[in-house]
Parts: sequence; C-alpha cells; structure tokens
Amino acid sequence: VPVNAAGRPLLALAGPVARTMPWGPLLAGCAAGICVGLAMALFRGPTLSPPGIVLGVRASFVPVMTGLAFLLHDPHRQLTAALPVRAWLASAVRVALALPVLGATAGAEFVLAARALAADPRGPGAGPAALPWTALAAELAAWCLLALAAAALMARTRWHDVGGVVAALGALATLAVLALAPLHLLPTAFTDMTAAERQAWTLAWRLWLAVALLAAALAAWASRDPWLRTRVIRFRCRSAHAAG
Amino acid sequence: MSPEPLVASAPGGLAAESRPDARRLCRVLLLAGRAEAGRMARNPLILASVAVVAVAIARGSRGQVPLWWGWDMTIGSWLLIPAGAVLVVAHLAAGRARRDGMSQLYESYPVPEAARAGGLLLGVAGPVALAAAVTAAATAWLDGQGALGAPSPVILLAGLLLVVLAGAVGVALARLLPHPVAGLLAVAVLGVIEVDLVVPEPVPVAFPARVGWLFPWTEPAGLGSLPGPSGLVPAAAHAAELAALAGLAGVAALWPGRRARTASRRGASKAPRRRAGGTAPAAALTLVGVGCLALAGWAAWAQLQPAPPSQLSRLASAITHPAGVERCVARGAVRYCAYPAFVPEIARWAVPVSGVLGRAPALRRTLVVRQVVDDSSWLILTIDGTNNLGASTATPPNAWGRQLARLARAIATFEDAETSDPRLIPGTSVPPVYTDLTWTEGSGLGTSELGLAVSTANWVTGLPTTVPIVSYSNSTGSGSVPVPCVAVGQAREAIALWLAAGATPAARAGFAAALAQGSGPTQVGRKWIATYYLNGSGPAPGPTVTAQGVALAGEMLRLPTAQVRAALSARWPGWLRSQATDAQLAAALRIPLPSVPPVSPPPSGPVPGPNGTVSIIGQNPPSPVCR
Repeated sequence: VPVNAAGRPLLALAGPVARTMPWGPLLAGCAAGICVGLAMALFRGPTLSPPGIVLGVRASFVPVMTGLAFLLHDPHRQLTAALPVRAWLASAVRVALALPVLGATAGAEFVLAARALAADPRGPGAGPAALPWTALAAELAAWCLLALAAAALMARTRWHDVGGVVAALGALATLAVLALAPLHLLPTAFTDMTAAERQAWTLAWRLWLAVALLAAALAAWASRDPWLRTRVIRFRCRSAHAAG
Repeated sequence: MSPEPLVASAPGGLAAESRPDARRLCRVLLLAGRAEAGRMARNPLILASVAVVAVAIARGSRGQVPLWWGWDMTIGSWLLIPAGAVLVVAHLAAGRARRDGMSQLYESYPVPEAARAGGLLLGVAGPVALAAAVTAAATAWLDGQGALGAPSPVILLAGLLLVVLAGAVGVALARLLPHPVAGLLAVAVLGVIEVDLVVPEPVPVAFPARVGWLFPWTEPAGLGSLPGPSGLVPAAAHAAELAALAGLAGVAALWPGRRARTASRRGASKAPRRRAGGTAPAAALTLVGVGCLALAGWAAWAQLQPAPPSQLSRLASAITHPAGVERCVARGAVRYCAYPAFVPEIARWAVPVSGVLGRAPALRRTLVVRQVVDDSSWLILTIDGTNNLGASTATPPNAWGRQLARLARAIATFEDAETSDPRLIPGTSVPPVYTDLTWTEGSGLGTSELGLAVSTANWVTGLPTTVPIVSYSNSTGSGSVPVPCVAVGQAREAIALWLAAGATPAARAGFAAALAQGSGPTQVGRKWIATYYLNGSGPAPGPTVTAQGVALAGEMLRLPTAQVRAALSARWPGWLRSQATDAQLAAALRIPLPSVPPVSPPPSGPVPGPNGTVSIIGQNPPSPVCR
C-alpha cells in the first residue's frame, strides 16, 4: 500500500476492512435499538408522557451503543498490526464505514419517537411539541464515542478478546455515573418548557458534546500504534547501541 | 482417521468402552460445577452488581419505616442487576472454549459436551449463593430498620430464581449464539423491558393488565399503600414460572448438539450408547422439557387470572371499615387502633401523643388514635399488576369489572369523607385523630411527629381536625375545595401550637422547618391575614394557623414549661373557648403580645410571567373563623 499518496491508504483499506469488520454485532445492536423504539411506538398505551418518550429514546440508544462497542474488535490484529499504515487508520475506516448505519438507526429511532409523540393526546391549547433533536443527537454521539473509547482502550490490553463486552459494560457504567452525578445530564420535560427547563436542555447537550469530544480524543489516543511495536523499536535501538 | 481413536489410544487416553460411567460423570459434573461456581462468584462484574444491590437497598430503605409486603418485591427488583450480570458472565463462560480456540481439545476429553454444559449450569450456584447472601443481609437490615409485617419466602425465593434463570439462559444462549454480543444484547433488551416494568414513572410501553407477570419480574405500583399483605401478588405462580423457564433453558443447554448426535449414531453400531447424546438422556431431557413447558403454561395462565372478587371485597372492607379489622391497644388514657401489621408502630405514635398530653392539664376524656388508609388511588393498578401510574384505571365491562368498579367507588367515597366527616368511623374520638400508613424516620421524623402532635393538640383544644369540602363559583373559576377554618385571635390556637411544637425535640425541629417556609395571605371573612400551613396527620389537609398564633406560641416555647402549664391550668376550660383571645393569654403569661405585620391580598386573575407567558391565579372561597 503506497503510504505517501494522500487518500490512497484509506481507499485501499476500505475493502478489506469492510469485509473483516464485525458487522454482526453492529447490525444486531442497531436492529435491537430500532425494535425498542418500535415497541414504544406500537405499545405506547393510552397515555405516554413526554418524559416517557425521552426515556424510550434513551433506552433505544443502549443496544446501539452495545453493538458499537464491538466495532474495533479485530481478531486478525496480529496480522493487521504489520500493515505499513498507521494503526489508527484501520479504526478510522471502521468508524467511517459504521457511520451510515448509525445515522440510519438514529434517524429511524427519532422518527419512531416523533410518531409516538404525535399520537400523544395533548391538552387543549397546548402548542405543537417537538423532540429536542439536537440534544438527543448529542447524547447518542457521546454514548457511541464513549463505547468506542472504551473499546479502543480495551484493545490495547490483554483482555482484548473480551474487549467488546468490557467496553460496553464500561461505557454503561460511565453513563450511570454521569447520570447519577449532579450534572443534570438527562432532562426529560420538553413540552411547555419553562425558561429553566429550556436552559437545562441547552446545558445538557453542551455537556454531552464535551463528553463526546473527550471520548473522541481518548479513542484517538488509544487507537495509535500499539505498545508492542514501540517495544520492538526500543529493543532494536538498544540492540543497535549495544552492538555499537 | 478421526481424532477420536487417536485420543483413545494415546497414553492416558480412554478407549470408547471405558468411557466414564454415570457415577464418574456425576463426579466430573460436580468438579466442573465447583470450579465454574468459584470462577463466576469471583467475577468482578457479579461482585460489583451484588455490591450495588446492597448499597441500593440500604439507601432506599432509609427515611421511612419499610413495609415488608412491598419490600420483598423491591428486593427482587434489585436482584435484576445481579441477574443481568450472571447472564453476561454465564454466556461468556460458556463461550470460553470457543473464544480461546480450545474447542477441539475439549472434544478430545473423555466426557461429553453436556457434562461441560452441566458444569456451567451448576456453576450458577456460585452467583446464586451471593444473591442469597445479599437477600439474607437485606432481610436482616430491613428487620433492623423496624420493617412491618413479614417477608414472603416465596417472593424472596422467586428473586433468587431470577438469578438461576439468568444463568441458565446465559448458558443456553451461548450454544445458540456464541458471540459475546448476544449475551449483552439480551441483557440490554431485557433490561429495557424490566426498567419499564419496575420503575414507576415514566413508563414508555404500557402492558395490558397482568401481562407484566409473564416477564421475569414486575413490581406493581401501590403495594406499599395497602394496609397489609394483600395476596394480589401471584407469588407461587410466578416462582413456578421462573423455575420452569430456568428448567427449559437448562434443557436447551444440555440438549445434545449435532456433533454429539453424529458421534452417537456413528458409534451406535460399535459400542453401547453411553454418551450424553444417546437416546436415554435425550428422552429424559425431553420429559423434563415437556414438564417445564406444562408448568410454565399453567403459571402463565394462573398469573393472567384476575384476583377473586371475595379477595377484593375483603381488601375494600379493610379500607372502608377499619374498626372491623384493626387491633386497639390502650396506653394510659389513649387507645391506639392500628391495622394488625402496624401494631408495632404504635410505640412510635405514642411518643408525640404522650408528649402533647403530658404538657396539657389532666383530661377526663379518652383519646382514640385511629389508623386509616388515605392513598389507595393506586389500588386498581396494583390489582392489574402494573407500575404505570398513567395507565387507564377503567375496569373491564364484565361482572368482575363491575364489582371492582363498585369497590373502587366505595373506597374513593370513604377517602373523601375521611377529610370532611368528623364522625365517619364509629369508636373514634371527635374530632378524630387519624394517622396513615406512612411514618418517616431520620430527617423526616420531625414532620411525622409534628403532624400527629398537631392533630392531638387540636383534639385537646377542641379545634377541628377535618376540613369541609366547599363548592364555589367565582370570576376565576369553579369547583370543590377543602376550606379549613382559621382560629383568628383565639388563645386555643396558640395553646395547640405550643402543645404540638413542644411535644418532642423532633416535633420542635419540624415546627421550625415548617415556619421557615414562610407565611402566606389567607382570606378569612372579609379580611386578609398572614397564615402558615402545617402538616397534620392522616388524610385531612394540615391546619391553617395564623401568624399571630404562631408568634405567640413561639414566645410561649421560650418560657419555662411549668410556668405556661400553671397559667393554663388556672383556667383551663376557659382557654378552650373560642372567645378566649391571644391578648388575654399573653397577659396571663405576662408577656407582650407579638405584633404581626398586615398582609396584602395576592394578585388574582391573569398574571404576566416570564417569556411572555400568562398564568391565571384562581381564588378559593374565604375561610370561616373556627367556632
């Protein structure tokens, strides 16, 4: 693979990475997420409150995040580590290939939530209600990036064979801690909002964006060349010094 | 050449004829089970989940006296967390050989695949032992907190069966879908459903009545609002369902795989069938599977049946005719009448009641403190086995539904009358001193003790403890609202507040906390006066007391108790008359009457709010002066 030609490695990697990518967990997670959203739309009952809709949307994010935690699992890591490209490139290609699937899943979940909301009998005089798309999209992005960061970190450890499981559980635990922390990251009311409630949503999505950026940075840092290669180089350097 | 003869002929290998007999197989099973149990019990995920349950139960039970007929279900709800962890861990354990590339080596072992699966199933005993330990610890902790009633052993057992089921499903799922994501996704999807069934609000998916019982766990709303164990939880049927499902999952985990069946067929002509893939084990598994299926079917049918009308009638009667079921205990000049499960709570009620009576001059009347139910609005949801507070409480259009509707109407009528009719329950003091099913402890103790002390002090001083409902119609709207009387300028109001606030240290702290919330204007007759709203006990809204009375009571609390008591005893019957004024009481105590600044009426009608919003402030009818 010609490394110095801009863009060429990406194109050259796309095919093999697409063939060896763990599509099964990703698609299963996305399908399960859509099924959760579908269940909410179909069996919503006579009264589904806006907080219930938001809870349902967030519940549908959980399987998606779970499936995504397996995205970076590479059973051929010993082989792909020897490729003449940076290690993060393969991970970036995987994420790029998964993005359309994630986008379609998120779109389907939001459409299902909007349908459930449209069917909600609102009181007379109540204005039209719309889901807080921006905030929920930021939440989904943060959740997914947390899973990816955890997966990238696990791939560098000796538990890489169960990296997906540990990453998913680690991401869920991190989310639980964030939700329990007094940061008010999970607002629920979005109809007839007061100024304070509107401010809470704005603050929440900004905080989620910050979490997403931090997780992305962590994932990028963890996706760099594995320590094994570094050790080999050092060993060679030491050998060269000793020989000299 | 197939690997089997090679392995058999290798040094230390076993020939096909000398395959282990049933006794050896059992030994292998036990050894494997013990090893797996230790591994699973030491798994950090399971240990963390058990720790989370312990902390959650300890934190969740603080603040109020736990009621066992709701808390045994709550323990099961918390056990969903270890159950999810066990499912993931069991699934990973069952896929370990495949993940580590050891499948072929394992197949060369002189025990069938079913023995390894059996070992994994037995290994679930490790996490189950941890769950049993945390359940026992929770039971001891809640008993130590003074929980009322007794836990249902069947419900606690069902909670443990939940963990067993999760382990068996994990092992079985690993045979069908060995990828680690399968276990995680199963937990994620089941977890979402269980959150929907267990967390009271908000509920994204509404299940029909009693369908929630078909899922591994559900916790109906309102169990803690009932005056005792109701029998509305189909505990035995649910435990049977969980056991049957665990059995089915176990059968699926042990069922001979394709490889075992092929080996069995291949070896059928050469050697006797001794492997697990033989006919006899398969027949036994089939039999067990059919038995489990039948049990699960019966359990599902039993759980979908509505509660018998006779049971519902007994429950409604216990609420609307408390005197018929309550036990009364005499303590000095007071009779405490409580539902049988709440009798141990009488000792808690006696503290503020005796505190009030001890400060008042000797009385020649007997006080009856009566426990009533005042929040059975969730009863139909409990009967329907749902936790969805927004679910329809409409009853089905059949004979059972019509009877349930009649009972619900009777309960609602009784609960409305509790707040307004002072002579509703025979054998109760007039005005009645009620207490309800909730009693807070810890930081909320002051509120509970002050509420009961205020009701008792109002009984002592002859002030009303119930509030009539008044229908009104004015320019801001119409409706029916409770309108309490206000003892404007009456000495007995300050006396009642002094008696209540000084009854116990906690009541005094609760009084200070109530006053810290500030006063508000109340229209009495044509005048607007500054008032405070206190919490009473039982169903009636708390009394509305004047700021003048509160200020005078505050001054009285600063005086020595003996001095105030002596002044009150000197002309006790006179102080209880509505004509005795705050000024006369202050003069008798030789203290200046505290001055209270006048208040202006609140705005009424449309009031502009933030962001251009307009809110309509309604105006209730004016309160009368207490007579």
